[in-house]
Amino acid sequence: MNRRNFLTLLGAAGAGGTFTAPPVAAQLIRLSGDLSEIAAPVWAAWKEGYLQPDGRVVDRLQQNASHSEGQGYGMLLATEFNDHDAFRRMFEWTEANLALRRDMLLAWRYLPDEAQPVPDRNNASDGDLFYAWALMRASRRFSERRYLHRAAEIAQALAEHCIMPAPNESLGLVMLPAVQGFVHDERVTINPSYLMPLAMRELAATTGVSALAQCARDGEALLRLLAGDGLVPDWLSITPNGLVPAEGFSENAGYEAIRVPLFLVWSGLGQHPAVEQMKRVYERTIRPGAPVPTVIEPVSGVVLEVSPDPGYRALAALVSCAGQGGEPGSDMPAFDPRQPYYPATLQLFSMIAVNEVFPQCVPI
Amino acid sequence: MKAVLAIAIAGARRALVPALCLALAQPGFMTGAALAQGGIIAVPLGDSGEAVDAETIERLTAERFSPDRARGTQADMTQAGAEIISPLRPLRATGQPAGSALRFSGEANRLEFMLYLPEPGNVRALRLTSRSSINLLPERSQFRVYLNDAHIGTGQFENFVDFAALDLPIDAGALRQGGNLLRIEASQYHRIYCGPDASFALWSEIDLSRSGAVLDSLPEDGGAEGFLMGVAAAAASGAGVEIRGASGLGAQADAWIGEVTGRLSAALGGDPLPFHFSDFWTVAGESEPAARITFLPAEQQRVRFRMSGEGGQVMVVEYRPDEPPQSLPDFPALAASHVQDEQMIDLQRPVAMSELGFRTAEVASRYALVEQRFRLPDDFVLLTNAKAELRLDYIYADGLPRGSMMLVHVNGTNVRLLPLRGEGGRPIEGFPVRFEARLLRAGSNTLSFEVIIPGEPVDLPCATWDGPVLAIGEDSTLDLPYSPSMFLPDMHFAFVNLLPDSLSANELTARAFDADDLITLRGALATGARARAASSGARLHLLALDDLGSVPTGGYGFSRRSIETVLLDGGASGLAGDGAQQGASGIQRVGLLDTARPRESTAGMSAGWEWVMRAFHQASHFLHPRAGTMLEEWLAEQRGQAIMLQLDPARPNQMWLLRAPGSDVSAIASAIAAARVTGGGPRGQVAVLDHDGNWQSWFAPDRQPVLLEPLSPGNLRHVLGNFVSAMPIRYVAGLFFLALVSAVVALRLVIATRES
Repeated sequence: MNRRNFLTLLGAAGAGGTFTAPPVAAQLIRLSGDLSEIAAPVWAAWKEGYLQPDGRVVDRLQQNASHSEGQGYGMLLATEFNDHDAFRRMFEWTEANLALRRDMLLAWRYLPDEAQPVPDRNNASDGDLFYAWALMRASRRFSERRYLHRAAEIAQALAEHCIMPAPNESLGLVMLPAVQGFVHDERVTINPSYLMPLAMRELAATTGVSALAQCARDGEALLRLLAGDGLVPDWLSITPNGLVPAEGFSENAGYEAIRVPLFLVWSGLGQHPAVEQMKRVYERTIRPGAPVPTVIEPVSGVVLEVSPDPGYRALAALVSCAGQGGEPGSDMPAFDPRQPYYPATLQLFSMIAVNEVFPQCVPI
Repeated sequence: MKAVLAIAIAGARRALVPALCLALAQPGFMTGAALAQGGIIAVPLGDSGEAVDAETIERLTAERFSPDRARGTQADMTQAGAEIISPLRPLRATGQPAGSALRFSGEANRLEFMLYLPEPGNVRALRLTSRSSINLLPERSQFRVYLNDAHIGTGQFENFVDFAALDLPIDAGALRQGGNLLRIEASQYHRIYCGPDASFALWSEIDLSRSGAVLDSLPEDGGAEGFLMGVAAAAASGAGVEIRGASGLGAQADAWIGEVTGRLSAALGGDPLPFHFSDFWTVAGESEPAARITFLPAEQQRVRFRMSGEGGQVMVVEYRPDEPPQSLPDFPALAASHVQDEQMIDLQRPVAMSELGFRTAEVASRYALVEQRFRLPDDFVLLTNAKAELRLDYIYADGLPRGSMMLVHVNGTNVRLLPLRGEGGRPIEGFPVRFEARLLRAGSNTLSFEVIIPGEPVDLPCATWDGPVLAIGEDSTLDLPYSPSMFLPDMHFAFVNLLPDSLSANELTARAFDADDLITLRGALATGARARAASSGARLHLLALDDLGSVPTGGYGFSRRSIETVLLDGGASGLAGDGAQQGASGIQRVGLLDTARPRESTAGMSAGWEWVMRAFHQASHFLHPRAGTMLEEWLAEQRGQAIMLQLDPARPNQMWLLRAPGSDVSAIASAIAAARVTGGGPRGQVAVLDHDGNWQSWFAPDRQPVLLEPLSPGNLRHVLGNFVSAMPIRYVAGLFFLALVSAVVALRLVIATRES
């Protein structure tokens, strides 16, 4: 395990999570390495498929829009693949086109074909989180201090504007999906997939914004609570009396919540109940060569929608492999740049999670 | 709710948010309960500080997080998955590049395949995807399919534009788990003409990757049979078998990879399996890999069969780092068990052809080639005019068209023409066919019968025959003469003794052969390996053109340019355009009638002098052939994708292989594998693999036999005969010299007696 991976795991464990050391024999460590060396064609294919020369990450399924999420995701990938040029281009484009808010956070979306490309200046806290995390990691990898400064600004702004106590105090801190629009009366609506424990802890440790680490800890507990009844849903509301479905939002475990087990596994929490729940669904539903579930009814586990995108299969393979011991190898497919941006990017995240945390889950 | 929000925004926004931020920045900040008790609702500021009305926020948020927002490709849950085909695997090597269609040529043909089935009950149908020459008469051109020797269906060749599929229903009871033998017998008729020429225009091709057993679903745990099915599919498509994780094997990599690929190649037989190395993290190609071998470090060695994310069959080999391979599965060599080995023939006694594996052959077409291969001892050398005899049992139908004949060939040389008229309907037993035994050679030999029956009339489709029109009996005998134990330099001996470990590479090899090529060639050498090959020490050196100087020439002279001409001149075959090419290569023909070469001088004296010199060279060459010059001439007429060399008779177990840049190594490997099974492989001192997949061999005219046994009265005549026959001019010259000396001595004696 390289030093960076070791530190990642150490950070996750030291933050009080339920991290348990993966059952990786010492020799399995040789399966991981510098992604810029062992997976360079994959990164090249991702850039070719989704990154414009000016640094804009394009989501073609969403009116060719760009999101702070996509920019943050792309910059994190560029960091992992040691591609400073791509990172710089994405960073500069984002600063020029989405950094329009006075609170240092990013506008959530850019629409290239609109007269006003940023009609909604609200932010997206997951986009901000990944943007800041990417900047923080990039400051180390590329030895650029200004990236860390900008990461700290965003971390501070997230803590100030998007992290708040849950209406039910036993749940601790929650992260709002955005600065505006998610607090109503005594009800707060959250998206569990916006929690990325590893990112929050690393940012907290590096910038000193401890609210992020506390929010990560409380978020993991909340996810554990949710997983007690089934799958973690895309959205939910918190009231003083407890958790209720989020009115007007997806109540299913769909394209949002599909990231929950990914981020938990990436954070070294392969045994988390939310991961176990999803793993059980995958074991029950996934068939060789058939599309994988992407939208599931959380309690009954009934599959409502499936997708053939390799990214979702890769994610399922990671989740299925991470929890089991002694069975090296996962059935992750090869990266396919013909799939849409979102599953493609999640597939690369799954790859990073394997490389950093569960090297025994390399694709067979 | 909107009203409440509006109040909150209008009344409390500016005051609350800074307070909340302040609280968050402090230890023990405001709790949710406090918020609720105070009745204050937190709605943060907009970025610009200007008021954003609640309705707008609600609308934007609803749009933003609509459950209908597309985040991936949605699939129909009821949609059936892609069809899965367990493809046909030819039993014999074809000599063609991997992924090629398999061709049925002529009026009657049959091919055999292996069909690997992990779950026989899962088979829906048997599919044949074919296309045919437009010359075929569809109403009468058909194929019959036999599975494990039981007839399961008949179909017609009727796809002339493109490949199209035909599904034959199949009874699951006719299938076995694992390997199944499938035989296809094709009957093809020309739609306009009849006769041998028309027969050559008949062909149908089967797309192997799209032909085979159609499965209802992929077996989740297909085991070794499922993996072999995947390997067959990988070979049929030409994509080949991936090897993943080999870099972790370290110093044991060669041992592991050699063991695994060797076992697989031996089990599947036929064309060599193309292998190629891949990383763990890859980009998908146009087609999904059907089979893969993945090496993973683990606590203990074991092999598991799994399915990849793409639906391919994977053999996961878990190994303990730095330990040699153990516990690998033994794949049954089902294909090889159905391929008949060449039988060694006894000398000096009539050997029934049934002893060689020949079964009575019946011919029911206008053109047919019936072949029987057999082996002679490696120390068989006959260069004299000793005779061998075939005593042939055959019968043919009465009333065959005028001009019907059967040609008997030995190693491609015609030795007899038998007219098929006059004795129709009566068995002819023991008909003697004597031929020169020097046509036989050590190792593999082929006796073939070419049947030619003209159409009557030739410009109408052939009439249908109710049964065979000719039969060759298995009781026919072959009687070959004695040969002393001798050796004639030939790369054949090294070639048949090559093993997967016989490949040799140096630091320059990588310029011509990459790691994938090496493993594919190694697989080819796992085919047809002789039992005692390991003791021969045969080596095949893989060379880059830049390293040509390292080839021992054994006194034969040839230029690098002539080799380059063979390998670099694209697909031009044979003599096409050879005038220009020869001019470019600077190679000069030696011949009295060679007038095409530009003359350097037109002066009469010079022309005369040149003529004299050429005549001298011609005569000199006739009396004492210079192999180097002849090799250059021969090479100038060859074009191919690879060359094998073995020029130094002092190194009979060493061979050197060069390939053309950009050539398909799977085609080279397949030609090697096919040659090791059929015996049609490289022979002599230099062999070129042409672009049709055939080996063209050059034999040095001055190679000398070597006696391998003591000279005795019993073998003296045969040994001397071979030596004299190898280079008769030397012995003629010697005898002439002896006669001359004798004459001089006699003359001197006469003169001396007269003087006295």
